[in-house]
Amino acid sequence: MTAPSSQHGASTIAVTLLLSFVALLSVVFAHRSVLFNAKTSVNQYRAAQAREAAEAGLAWALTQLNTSTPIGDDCRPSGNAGAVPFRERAVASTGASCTVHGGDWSCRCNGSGEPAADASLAFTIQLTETEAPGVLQLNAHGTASGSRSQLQVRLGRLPGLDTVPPAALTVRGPATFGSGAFGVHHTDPASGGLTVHSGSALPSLPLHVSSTPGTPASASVLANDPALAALTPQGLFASLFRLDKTSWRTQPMVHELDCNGACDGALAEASTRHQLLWLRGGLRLDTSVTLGTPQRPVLLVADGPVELNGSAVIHGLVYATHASWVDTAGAAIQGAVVLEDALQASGNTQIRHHLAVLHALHQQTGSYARVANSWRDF
Amino acid sequence: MNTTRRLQRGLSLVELMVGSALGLLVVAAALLAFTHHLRESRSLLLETRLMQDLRTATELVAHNLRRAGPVSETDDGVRFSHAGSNTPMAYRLRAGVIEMKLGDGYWQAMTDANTLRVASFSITPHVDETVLAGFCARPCAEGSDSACPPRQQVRSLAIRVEGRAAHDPAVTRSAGTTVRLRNDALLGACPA
Repeated sequence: MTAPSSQHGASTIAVTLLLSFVALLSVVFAHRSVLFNAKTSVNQYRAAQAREAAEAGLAWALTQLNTSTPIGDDCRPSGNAGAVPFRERAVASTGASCTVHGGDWSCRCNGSGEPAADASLAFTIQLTETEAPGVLQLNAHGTASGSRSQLQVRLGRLPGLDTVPPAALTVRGPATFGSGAFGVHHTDPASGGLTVHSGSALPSLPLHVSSTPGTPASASVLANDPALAALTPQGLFASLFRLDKTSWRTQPMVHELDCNGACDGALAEASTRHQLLWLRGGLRLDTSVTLGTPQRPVLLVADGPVELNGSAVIHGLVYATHASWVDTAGAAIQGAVVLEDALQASGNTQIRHHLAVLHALHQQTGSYARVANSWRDF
Repeated sequence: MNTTRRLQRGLSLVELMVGSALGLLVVAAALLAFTHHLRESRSLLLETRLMQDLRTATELVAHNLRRAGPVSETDDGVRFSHAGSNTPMAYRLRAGVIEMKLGDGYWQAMTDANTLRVASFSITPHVDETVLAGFCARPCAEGSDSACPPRQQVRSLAIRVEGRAAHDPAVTRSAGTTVRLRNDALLGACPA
């Protein structure tokens, strides 16, 4: 038996721990390249996430710009009286931001432009006007766990109405005015005073024609215009809207409505949110509804006959594909009317050319699209 | 005293030989395992470094090409310029090294020939074309050339790089990615 004092176990443990630590260091040193690769992979992953977040910001902003639904501060549709679409909100403010919380995106459109501080994945967007009219500069910043990415692109607006019609009433083919006091007025000297513009001869004029002071009614009518007569219906549409019917109809800012029967209620409700409306079956109104305002006019493309049985007031442009125009009450149109074929009118409709209304359509409406070769990440 | 001496009698020759033989056997096996581990570790290191170099080169090329405007293939690579810029840029494979053209006639190596020998470098374009006839105010004239109506090209490039380790030609790896060019090409125009 030896004495217990000779059993120095503590030093053995210390030596063992030291050897284990040296072995651990050796293993880490031997696998330093693997650790380095893991770290660079994480960095690449975060950089890719930040870049994709910024790309998502560009796509999200473009979608929001082409949506006419009023939204609240959380960027979601809102029925509040003061709610306005993103397009009107974003340009006036500094921007918007979206972050991921628990797998869901949540956005803020109150102009702060800064994402929540605790967000691991987020983007912010800023919209600024450029020197070119109708062109916006969109900047998007994506962040992902400390990694950042910045992208920018220019967005151009395709106007809903590209060319303002010079006349109060434009008819590509022949026009006849039956019973009733159909009236066409264009009294603003600044816009030329042209009342009726036709591609064919006009055997008769509307009952009421008034132009600028001192201009006889017959002098304000341009009939047999060969340039207009040479256009096809599609050509006339494209000359006004710079798009063919299919492209114009399918752009995101155009709202389609079934108007085979009377569609007063649906059209009045839709016109408060949408300015570009495609009416399947034509335009039939049975009540004294008011569509649009001088500041926020509407553009109605009636794909069928027009039948007005109430004293409706329309601020904007009416484009009709069918010749039949029946008015049993006496509607008023402040803006212009275009018929892509002939016109067989009856009733008391009063058409007044309103340049400011048509300019508002040209400047306010339309869909945004990316400008070619404008994407930058530097 | 006699008892103690009997206990400390040592090992016999046979015991010593058997013990030594077993010990040597164990040490030899351990050495074999260790050298095998070293070889495996070195091979893994080479493969990892090779993959890392290939991925980095592919990512750099993709990152730059993502900004491209016009792109054209060449015999040994690709020629392009950034959208909105006229500065010519290019990538090529020369003597096992991927090079990028900077300025007029100056080529910068993108890979290190001391660690990576690039065997092949290919960039394959894919183009989806959309005719924009519906976006013209007037139709194109009969028999007009290919410039009317305008067309939009949505382009992507498939990048593939194959290489081998400079220190061990037996170690070969490849990396690839597909990059969608963010600036679509617009060809032609509407009639004036």
